[in-house]
Amino acid sequence: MQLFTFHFKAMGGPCKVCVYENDESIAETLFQKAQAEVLRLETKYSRYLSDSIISQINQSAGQNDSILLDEETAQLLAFANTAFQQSDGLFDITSGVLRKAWDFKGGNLPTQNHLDELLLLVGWQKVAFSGSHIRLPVKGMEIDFGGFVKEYAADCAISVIEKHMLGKPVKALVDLAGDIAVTSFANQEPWSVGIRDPKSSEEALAAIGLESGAIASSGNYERYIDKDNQRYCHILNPLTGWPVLDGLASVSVKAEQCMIAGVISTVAMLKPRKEAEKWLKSLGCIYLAIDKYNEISGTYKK
Amino acid sequence: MKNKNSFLLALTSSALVLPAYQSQAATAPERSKFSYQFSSYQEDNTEASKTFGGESERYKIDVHQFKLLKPINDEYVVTLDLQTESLSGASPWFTELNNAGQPQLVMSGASISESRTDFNASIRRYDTNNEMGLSISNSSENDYTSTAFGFDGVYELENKHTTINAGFGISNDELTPTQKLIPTSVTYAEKDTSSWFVGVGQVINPNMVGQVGLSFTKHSGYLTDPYKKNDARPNERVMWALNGGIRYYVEDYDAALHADYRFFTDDWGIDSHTITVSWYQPIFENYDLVPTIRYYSQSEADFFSNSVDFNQTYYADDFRLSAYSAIETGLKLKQKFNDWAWSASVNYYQSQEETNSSPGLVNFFRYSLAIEYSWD
Amino acid sequence: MKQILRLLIVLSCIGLTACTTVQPWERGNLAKANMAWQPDPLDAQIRDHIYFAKEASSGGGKATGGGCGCN
Repeated sequence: MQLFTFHFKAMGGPCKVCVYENDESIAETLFQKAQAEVLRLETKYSRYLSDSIISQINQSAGQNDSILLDEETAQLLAFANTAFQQSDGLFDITSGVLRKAWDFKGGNLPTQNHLDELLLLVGWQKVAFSGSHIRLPVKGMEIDFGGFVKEYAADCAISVIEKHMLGKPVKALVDLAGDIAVTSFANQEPWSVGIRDPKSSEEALAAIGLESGAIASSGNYERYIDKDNQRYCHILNPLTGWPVLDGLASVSVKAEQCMIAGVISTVAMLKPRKEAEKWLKSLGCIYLAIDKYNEISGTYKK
Repeated sequence: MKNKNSFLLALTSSALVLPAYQSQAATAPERSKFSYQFSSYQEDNTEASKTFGGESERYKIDVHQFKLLKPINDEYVVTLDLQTESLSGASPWFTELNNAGQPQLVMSGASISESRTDFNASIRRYDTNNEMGLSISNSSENDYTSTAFGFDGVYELENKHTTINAGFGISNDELTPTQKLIPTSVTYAEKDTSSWFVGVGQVINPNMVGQVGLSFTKHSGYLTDPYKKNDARPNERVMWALNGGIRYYVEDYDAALHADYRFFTDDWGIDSHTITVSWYQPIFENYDLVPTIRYYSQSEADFFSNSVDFNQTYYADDFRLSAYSAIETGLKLKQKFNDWAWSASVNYYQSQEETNSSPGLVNFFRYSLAIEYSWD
Repeated sequence: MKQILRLLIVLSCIGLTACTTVQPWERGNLAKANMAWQPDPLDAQIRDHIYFAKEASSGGGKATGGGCGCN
């Protein structure tokens, strides 16, 4: 068995597909199918392509028509709805507009006024979602799948690999810029997933073994403003417009589905450190948390 | 925040409607599989002190088992089984008391040589919450033919934790006992069997499943053994069996513990207990080592005796209707790689006397070698 | 005999333990090959056949199939 690794760019970052196979042409086919699936979702849920379903929904905000949804989008919105309710509003796909107040490149904190204006456009509970149709009631409201489409794409890529193999076990891994999903396989060495040091992009601080399921991570090191000894990162609380100030530096969560691991890691990053760890423990899932002093904690096994 | 179970449960239920999360592991097997096993079964010689004429050999049987499993489409799977065995050796003819009043075996003089072929064909249908199977089989040897038909169903309840299974089978057997070697007055006889089973399976926790079941079987017709001198059995036999078992995953060892218990009782006065325990232990990269121990004990039939009274309506001195217990120990090694798997196992069955046991209790040794190939 | 009694007690205690709800994401261990009710069907077939021929009991776990002249 050889390890074949294929690199490509998608979802705003470096992606790769790893397959253990005897036959290189099979590994190639699996990569083509996985890549095609990721690109399909990148295109379908892009905020930038004006004819994507997301753009259609956002462009008709404030108007009277509801947009008819295809089955996949309707099911993903239902999932986002469940995540919103289960997280008491911390996971909210309408919170994307808040980025307009946050100038991470310039390094200036937003004014409370600006945030208050934008907060009027935030709140999934305001959206008219019937299960088959959606309507954003106020002009300027937006929905954004960016918070979970990458994780969903990792799950979909693994699913097409498994379906192509027709039930024959295969050891494969899909890594979309740090959101990772693997096929289920037994009797072989688990994949070893390195968890990045929040303070340095090259070093791994710890590793989680993966022989099924997925790992999703969230961290405060992607886009942030450091001011007065505080880090303000891009993960914003939809209720206040601000990030949490005494939260974790990063968290990686293992779950059966990457999409669910992603929701858990996002919500954990919005809680103060102690509360976040207590919550993660209560869920019973395997996680690795790193705080701002580089202290590692969690229920992971190497 | 909602509690742990509610959070993950809600998110998972919500995600599972998406096609990407519907694992294609429905219960139906997707790949074809051919398996073959060779077994060599050898009974220990009888004890010299318990046999008239001194120590005697008993049965030696070689068995070839072939199985072909083939999915026809998403729903249906066909299985074909063929078993051929060839037997040689001597068997107990009757028991009589020697001068000291001790029961002794009198063996059939000649060493017989026989073969048997058993063929079974079955079709099984898999659906989202149920399975159904139909099977026919035929066993034939030079003095005995049996034709059987069976049906079974499995139904999974909505909670997805409980399954109910039930089945029934009937068979018709014809005996045409060989006249030459052992004196017998029977030239043709028939026996009919009907059997019912109902069981409940339950997922107990993430590491354990259990099952309990009840079965009922009735034999009617000629049930006497035509090759035994002192044998006259009723025309009917009604049997009940109650079974329970668990399969338990032991996280620390990545091993599976299998434990089964069966209580059996019939209207011939026989009760028995059977306990079987196996431990499936993965070793190295893709091997499994499986030790097994089985304890069996049965009481004697009402009409069993080592010195039969021909004035009784029913009588038998066959060791299989005698009181005894037995311990069987076995060890199996299996390996799985790519589309192939093989296994090798040894088993030893050792009987122990109880009160009034027959002198013909059997001990046997069996080794088996199997190989399996799967394909799409 | 003492060992058997002990095992029976263990088995019945397991039976009395409250059954918990197993979530779909927790089913991984139950799906392992060694956790199948009968991981070795050919072996089970020959064992059942030998016990049918050598012991007084038969059945338990399913409806019994055809017979044979084994004795």
